[in-house]
Amino acid sequence: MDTSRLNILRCMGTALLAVAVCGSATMPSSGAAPPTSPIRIEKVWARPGVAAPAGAHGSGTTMGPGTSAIYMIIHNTGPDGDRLMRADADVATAVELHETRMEGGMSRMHMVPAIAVPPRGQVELRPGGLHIMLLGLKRDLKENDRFPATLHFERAGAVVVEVPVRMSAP
Amino acid sequence: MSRWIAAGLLVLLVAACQRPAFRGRVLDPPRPVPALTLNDQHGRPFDLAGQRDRVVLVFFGYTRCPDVCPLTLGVFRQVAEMLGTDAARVRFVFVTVDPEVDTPAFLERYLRLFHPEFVGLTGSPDALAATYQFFGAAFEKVPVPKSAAGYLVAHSTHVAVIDRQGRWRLTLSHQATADDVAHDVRRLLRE
Repeated sequence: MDTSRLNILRCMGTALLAVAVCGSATMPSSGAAPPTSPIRIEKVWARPGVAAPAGAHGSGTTMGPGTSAIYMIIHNTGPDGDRLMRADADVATAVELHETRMEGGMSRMHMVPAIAVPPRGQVELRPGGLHIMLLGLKRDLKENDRFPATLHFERAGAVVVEVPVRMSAP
Repeated sequence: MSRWIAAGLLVLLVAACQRPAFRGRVLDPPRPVPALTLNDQHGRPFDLAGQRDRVVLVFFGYTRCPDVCPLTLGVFRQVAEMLGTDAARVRFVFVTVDPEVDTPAFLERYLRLFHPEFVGLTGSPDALAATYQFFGAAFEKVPVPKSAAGYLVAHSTHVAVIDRQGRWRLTLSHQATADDVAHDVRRLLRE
């Protein structure tokens, strides 16, 4: 079988799988956009992290230790593309949009100005990729804790999510 | 196309027959670990070469690392659970590449999130440099003026596996699953 046909089959398989997964998913427990919003948040979680000790600022840093990252799948059921512009969370002193990339065996992080969500599509924030970075944690985030975060979309506006703290993706 | 697949499978098969099937990359010959004494999160000396009869998993990272480091530590914890009582024969070690921020006290609080028995190492600049060099750990501070973090650390992400004879035997990628790591550790424990 030639490569292109294989690829087509593979794509079809993936598409079917995606339909099956989306179809079987119940209302995302953590998504909280208004019922009319085309934005749906699924599989949101954050990794554990410890609060920065008071006054502990390493040389060269403004924020010191105490970080976490939020991951999720953002679905857009609408006909228009949207963009996640920023996020807020009371547990952190600063919240930024970052992307980790592997370059030549090294893990590198970059800030990104916004995260695009394609029309009738989705974007996945996941370890080793796009994530919402929490800097300067004000309290420890332990496994099974939960905290609220607000996502600000260019079109859909604010979406509040309840973020569970986990070791790995749900 | 299918001819290439068949050839590839044959190569894999031959490779599988020639050496023990570790899932990590095998160092051939293994490299005896020199005396590299660092300090753990409780301030006690810890010699990476002196953990005889134990398998030692060594990972280089920093506590502000957003996802690769905590995920590797998450994998380590899963491995510890999968190994059961054998976990006592394994040392799970996190060596900081950001010693200015990662003080022993902070390492202690951080690692406790994952497992009370995990070892967090820091030390003198010379001892750390020798350790990074031996294990080929690469990292650099990258200033990110727009970020509240000030700088971020780009770093290598491999896990070095030291066998029970104190030799660096395997290298695992950060994409290795808990199942992969547990498989290789069990194999080394059986030797």
